[in-house]
Amino acid sequence: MEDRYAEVARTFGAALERLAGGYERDPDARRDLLQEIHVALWRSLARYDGRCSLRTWVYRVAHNTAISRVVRPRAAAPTLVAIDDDLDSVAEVVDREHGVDRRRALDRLYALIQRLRPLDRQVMLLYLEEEDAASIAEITGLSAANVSTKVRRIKQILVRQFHEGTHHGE
Amino acid sequence: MANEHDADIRQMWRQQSRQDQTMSVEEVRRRAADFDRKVERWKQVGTLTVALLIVKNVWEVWVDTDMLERAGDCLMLLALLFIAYRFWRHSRAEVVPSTLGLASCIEHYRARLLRQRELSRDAWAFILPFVPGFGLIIVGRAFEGRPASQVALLIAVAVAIFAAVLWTIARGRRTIEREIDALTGE
Repeated sequence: MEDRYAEVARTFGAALERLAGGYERDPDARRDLLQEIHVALWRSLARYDGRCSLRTWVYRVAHNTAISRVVRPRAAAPTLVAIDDDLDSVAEVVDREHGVDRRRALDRLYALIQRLRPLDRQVMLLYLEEEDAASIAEITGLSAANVSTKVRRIKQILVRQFHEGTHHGE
Repeated sequence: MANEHDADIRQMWRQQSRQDQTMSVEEVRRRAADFDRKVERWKQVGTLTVALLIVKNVWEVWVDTDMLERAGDCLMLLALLFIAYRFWRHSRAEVVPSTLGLASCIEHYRARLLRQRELSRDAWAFILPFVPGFGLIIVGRAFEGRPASQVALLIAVAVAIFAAVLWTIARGRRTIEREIDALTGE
């Protein structure tokens, strides 16, 4: 199991770090979540029986661990929005300044992700990790058609809100 | 064109520099042990708190001279034991991390929400057990000859606390139900 965990940490370490950033804005909270995910993975791998790919398993464990934190009641929790509803209003919350550099574009992207409702956030994060619709459907449990619809919407939003930032910044 | 922009963003996302170090196997093992210790410690704190409250209630049953107040104290004690049992049962049903990979995200999320809704639906079951005991204590004090204004104030405070707790729980439950409804449409 140790070898398998080491392999998972090596293969998915960077993706898990980005995933944690999608759930927690505060650096300390993000580090805590990342550690919690690693511990959950370490434990879960003993139960891994190959009924799904290791990749699906890892993402499920990571997102389910993270979602457990999101569901915990918090007095200061922001109102989360659906990707189909009023995501445009979320985009208005973030800075619309032209010529932002890569770091600022990423900050805006994280701010956008963190305002999404849990399932939409998971689809967005998996899409950014270049998972295809079938994998996203398997990990999230959403239908492939639903994932495709969400991905189409994500693409539109990303292009509309971020293409200027990424191009000016590079 | 749109696809190019989209690919740029995903590339930017995947190429961002890493901020945290990967945990070694030893560190993960240590943290897993820490996590277990922390859970165990919280269980011990909970058990100790309940034990202290039980001692306090038993003491009150012992020292109270008024029969009504003693009966009220006994009922409060029973209510406390009942609530402690419910919490113990709830904590046993907690999802253990090793099963997280078996459920898809939507299944896991729905299970968490349903669990929270079940807890909030049972709010009455957490509050009602204390009502008879508290009622008897107030009646006992009224018969003791305390001023009516003092008894009325005590009743008003108790009702306000119960109402506030129930209102907060009901509000949380409505939010959870909206989220469950939204999931059903997914």
